[in-house]
Parts: sequence; C-alpha cells; structure tokens
Amino acid sequence: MSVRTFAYALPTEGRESLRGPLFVSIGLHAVMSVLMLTYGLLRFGRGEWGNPWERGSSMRVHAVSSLPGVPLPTPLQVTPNTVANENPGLYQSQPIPSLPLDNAEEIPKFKDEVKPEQSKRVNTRIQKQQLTPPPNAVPYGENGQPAMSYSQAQTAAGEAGISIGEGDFGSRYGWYVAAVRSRVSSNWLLSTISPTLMSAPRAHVNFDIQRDGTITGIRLAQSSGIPDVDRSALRAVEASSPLGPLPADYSGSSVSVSFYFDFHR
Amino acid sequence: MKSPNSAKIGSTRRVSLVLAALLGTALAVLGGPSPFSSRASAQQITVGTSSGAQRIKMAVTEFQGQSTDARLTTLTQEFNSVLWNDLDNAGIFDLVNRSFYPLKVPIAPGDVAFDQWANAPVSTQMLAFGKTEILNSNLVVTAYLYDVKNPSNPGVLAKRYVATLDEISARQIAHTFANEIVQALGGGLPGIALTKVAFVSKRTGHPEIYVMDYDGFNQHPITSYGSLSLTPRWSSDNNKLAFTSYVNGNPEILIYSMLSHRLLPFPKYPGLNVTPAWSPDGKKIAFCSSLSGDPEIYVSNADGSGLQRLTFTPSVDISPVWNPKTGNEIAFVSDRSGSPQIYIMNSDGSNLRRLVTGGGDASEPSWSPDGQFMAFEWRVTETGTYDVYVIDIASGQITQLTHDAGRNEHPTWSPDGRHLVFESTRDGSRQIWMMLANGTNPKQLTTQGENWNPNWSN
Repeated sequence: MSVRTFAYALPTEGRESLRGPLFVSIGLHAVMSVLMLTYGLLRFGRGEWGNPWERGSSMRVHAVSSLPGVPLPTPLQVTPNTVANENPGLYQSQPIPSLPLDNAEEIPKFKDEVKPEQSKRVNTRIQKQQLTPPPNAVPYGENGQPAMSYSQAQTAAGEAGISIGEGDFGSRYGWYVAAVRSRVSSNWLLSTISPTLMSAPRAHVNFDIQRDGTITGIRLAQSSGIPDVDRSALRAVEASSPLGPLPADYSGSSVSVSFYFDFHR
Repeated sequence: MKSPNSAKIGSTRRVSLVLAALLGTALAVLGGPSPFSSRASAQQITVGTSSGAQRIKMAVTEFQGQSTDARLTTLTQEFNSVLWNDLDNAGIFDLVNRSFYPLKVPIAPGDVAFDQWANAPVSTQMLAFGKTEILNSNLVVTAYLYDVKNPSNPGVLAKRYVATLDEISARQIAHTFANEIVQALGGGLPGIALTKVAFVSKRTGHPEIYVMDYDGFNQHPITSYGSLSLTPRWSSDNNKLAFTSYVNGNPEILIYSMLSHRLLPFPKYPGLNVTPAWSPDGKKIAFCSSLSGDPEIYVSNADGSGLQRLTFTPSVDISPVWNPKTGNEIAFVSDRSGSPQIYIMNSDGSNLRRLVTGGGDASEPSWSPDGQFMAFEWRVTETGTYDVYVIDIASGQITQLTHDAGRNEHPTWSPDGRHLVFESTRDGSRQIWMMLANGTNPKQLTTQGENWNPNWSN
C-alpha cells in the first residue's frame, strides 16, 4: 500500500526524488554493518562460547600455576594510588638545569601597544547567596581520616575493594579486613563472566558478617548493569561464607561490609 | 497520505524512526540497563593502593621455657619446630627468617618493641610469640599473635593451652595454635594442622592401611591382615575409614571405625568390589562392583541397604568420588571411550558427561572441597608418564601441577583446598608427597618402604 502511494505521490518534475539518496544511504549502512561485523569477529570472536566438554580432541593445558579460585596468595600486583598524598616518593626529583640564555634574542615590543579597555561587568540581577557551612563540614582538601576505610585488591577478574564496619573497625582490625578481602577476591572468578566482556562498571555488594563469621544479608547495593558481573560478584561473596569469627575484643554482634567489584580484562 | 507532500514526509519519517530505533538499541546494548540508582557511590571513598592477596609476612619467635627442667626444654623445642613447620606449610604466610630478629625476644605483651619488628630488617606484619612452662605437672603454653604494624590495637589472638606433659600434647598445642592463626588470618578457612592422611604402605611386606598426621609424624598401621588392602577413604566426619581388602580371598569393601577400632558391618558381594567413596553427609557409599558381570558403579547406604546400580555399559566403571560441596554429583573413571577417562554424572546416574577430553588416560579424580576443581592423574601420550593435573570444572581449564619428576599419581585435596597430597617416584621409590594446590612447595612425608594411595581426612 505504501509503495503504491509512494509511486503515485511522487511527481516526476519539480521535486527531487528521494529514492537515490535512500538507496545510497542503505548501501552505506550495509557497508558499515559489514565492517562492524568483520571487526567484531576479528576482535572478539576468539572467546570460547558454549560447552567446554565438546572442544574436540585438543585441550589447552596451562603449564604455569595460575589457578584462580584456589585460596592461595597470588603474586603481588601493584596498581597506582589514586589518591595523592604527602609522602615523599622513592626518588628525589632533580632540579631542572637552567638553559644558557646568552645568545637569546629579545622579543621586540610594539611601540604603540594598544591596550583594550577593561569593561567591568556587573551582574545586577543575581544576588549571590552567602553559603553558611554546616557545623560538621570538612573543608575541601583538608579532610582527615575518611569515615569508611577501604582497601583494594586486584584479582584475575579485575579490582575489588572493601569498606567494612562503621567508624574505626578498619583501622583497629586491619588484619580482619585483609583476610575478608583476600578470601572474597580469591573467590571472584574470571570464568564466571562472559569471555567477550572486556570491562564493566563497578558493582557494589553489601553484606553482614555475624560473630561466628557467617555471611548474612547479601544484597546487590549497586548493579554494574551487566547481569554476568553482578552474579559473579554475588557468587564470590556467597562462596566465602563462613569467614573467620569476628575479632574477640570487638563488642558488636555483626559487622556490615560494602564490597565493590571493578571488572576488567 | 492524501496529498503527495504528506506521503513523502510520511515515508522519510518512517526511515528516520527506524534509524532512531536502531540507534536506541545500539546505545542500550552498549550502555546496558541500569535498574539501580547510583546512590551508594556518593558516600563511598576509595583510599589506599591496591595490593594483591599477597602472603602475610609473619615472624614466629622461639617460645621460651620458663624453667630449666630438661623435659620442658625438649618439649619447647618440639613445640617451636612444629609451630614453624605448620605455619610454613599453611601456604599463606611468608615467614621471616629468625636470623633477622631482634636479640630480645618478647615472651609477654609488654615486651614487644613494635618499631623493631615492624621496620627493617624484620619488616613483619604479624608476630607470634609466647612462653611455655610447667604448672601442676601440666604443660602450659601462653601464645600471642600481634599485628605489629598497628601498635594502638595489636592483639589478634591471645591463647593459653594446658595439656599433659608429653610430646603428643606439645605437638597438639602447636597444631591448635597454628590452626587458630590460619583461621583468623586466612579468611575463615580451617587450618589443616590437625588433619590426618590415610595411605597404603608395604613396609611390612604386605600392602596395609596406615594413618599419619598431615606432616608425616606418627605413622601407624590400621590393618595387619598380611593380605592386600587398598584405597582408604575417610568418611566426612573422620570417624570411619572405608577401604578395599583381599583378606577373605575376594576383593571386598571393609569399613573400619576409628572410634571403636573395629570393623563395621557391610555386605560382602561376589566378584570384584573396590574403591569405596563416602557421600558428604556420610550416609551413602558409592563403590565399584562386578555384581552384574563387569565392573559398574553402585550406591548403597552405609550399612549396605538400598543397593542401586548407576552405570550401565559393558566397559569398566571405577573410582567414584562425590562432589563434596553439593553431594549431588559423582565423578568416576570409565574406559567406555577406549582408554580410562573421567566422567561426571548426577548421583542418580543421570546427566552423564565426560570431563577431560584431551585423550591419553586420565584417572583417580579427587574433587576439591568447594566443588570447583578436580585433581586427577593424566598420561597425555602413550609414552609419557603420569602427572598431577587440576581442571576447573566450570571452564574446563587444565593446569599441570607436577613436571619432570617421576610418576605422580593419586592426588587428593586437603580440607582447606590449599594443598594436595599425592604419591610420587621422584625420590627413587614410591612415596607420599604434599604440595600446595598451585604445584609449589612439595614436601616428602614418608620414607619407609613403599607408600602410595594417600587420602586426606576432612
């Protein structure tokens, strides 16, 4: 019906036909899709989908001992600190040697240099409101110890971070935080995430640790937007129960933990 | 659609609508849906560099005996060496050599000079120290674990152990303290210092079942049948040991109680009956029997009732092992493809699939405690030798753990999933060895006679 209408509708003279540009456009789109498909196949096509049982007679065997999931320490990987601090670095910076300026030519100045007249702009309409900071405000750049102490870990599946308890739990029981971090990170497995996925936004998982170390109330506080990554993060936490019992001199009955997972390959 | 003009606009709009829809889909695919708000990220601050789950640096002082009693001196020495070995074997610590330690070794919390331990050359994170003494003719050990990098709140563990004055107790105390340390710092996984290993030894001329501590100490026989006894398997509560024995002429399954030190009743079937395996709840036993003519996998209750056949092929099906995490799956070895290969099925015999597809012959599967890995022995080519491999069951990724060191067979997992015990001929004769589950840190556990077929208690 639309074709007929179209045919009748187009007068042959006076109006430019859209048919030519439309076909050109469709052709260009087709070329683009072919290019994208080729690129995708070349770039991501090597990932292994499907059933690991039916891979033919050849199997990949890793000679290097890399077993994500075995609860053993992995070699140290250091990533750059994202927070600038006042600590001196390992190496002292050398002063830049001054260049010899004997034969340098001075830039000639224009005699009749015209200075543009400065016009003052006064905004009469908007009255700036004086902000009174709340009494407990921390001035920007002068913040002290943050209320939540985090620590980060790097695993085969990306980065993981942890915020544990309220107040000073992290600074008092750093060893406990480190133990939780290493256990959960070692249970976060690359193999549970689709092989074509290269990175994902951060996913936050919250949970509570009871006195005896069992994990309760696992919930996805913030989804990464990718179900694979969310599920693998939840799995990592679920597989870590029970953790060690809470420190003997800690008075609370449970500790709430926020764990984030940054996935990247 | 009445005037030419409107028709034209209509068709171009349709094209642009299709384009917009395509673009929208592409954006949605790229960006992904985000059903949750990003409210949480506003409050959370990231601090600190990222350091991998590295080994924890630990200094372990020599505990000091508080009297010059000769018995106390020898027991303290024993305690110190056992504690050091346990922490060294744990696989998660980096023990600082004692030659770096300060001259004054603390024995009580007040003595700890934090800066001396936390800074070079010791640079330790954790410090274990304490003392031993004799009180009321008992051995009393007071032990501490301190986080010396955190002087304001250093205490991690403070323990006092009281036991009888003998070598077994001194070792027991050291094992217990090591387990407490491993559990506190290792994220809740249990220590293995108090576990045992059952194995087959031919040191008396006949293969008999033996049991030893995980570090090779206290090797003692369970059977002395003067016959052939093989394939010991611990029940999940460690109270029973099932094994195969030819003592009555016919290979049959025997169950030995570690509590009453007697055999428990189990039916004697005709033909070949070998390789028992306990279900994780301890209520069922899977084993290989030739009741029907050729070796097949059977399951029965632990008292022999409710016998059920699981495999139905004319080939040999042997060496079952249960998934210790779920109890819903059984792995076993079958030569239905021509050579021995590892298969997995559900515990009712359904959903059969092959695990290792690479050819050669793969056998002796052992399921890791978390159900994630299978350790097995594999000879990839006909001319090659057997080595220990681990496969990640979900992804099918295989890792070779032993290389170029004799024949390595019969791996079984420790209850913490960090260690494997196996038999190896790398020393000339067949002996029991232990290693970390990434293939490092091999240690020989037995030396006397020929020893094989180890099984780690739970």
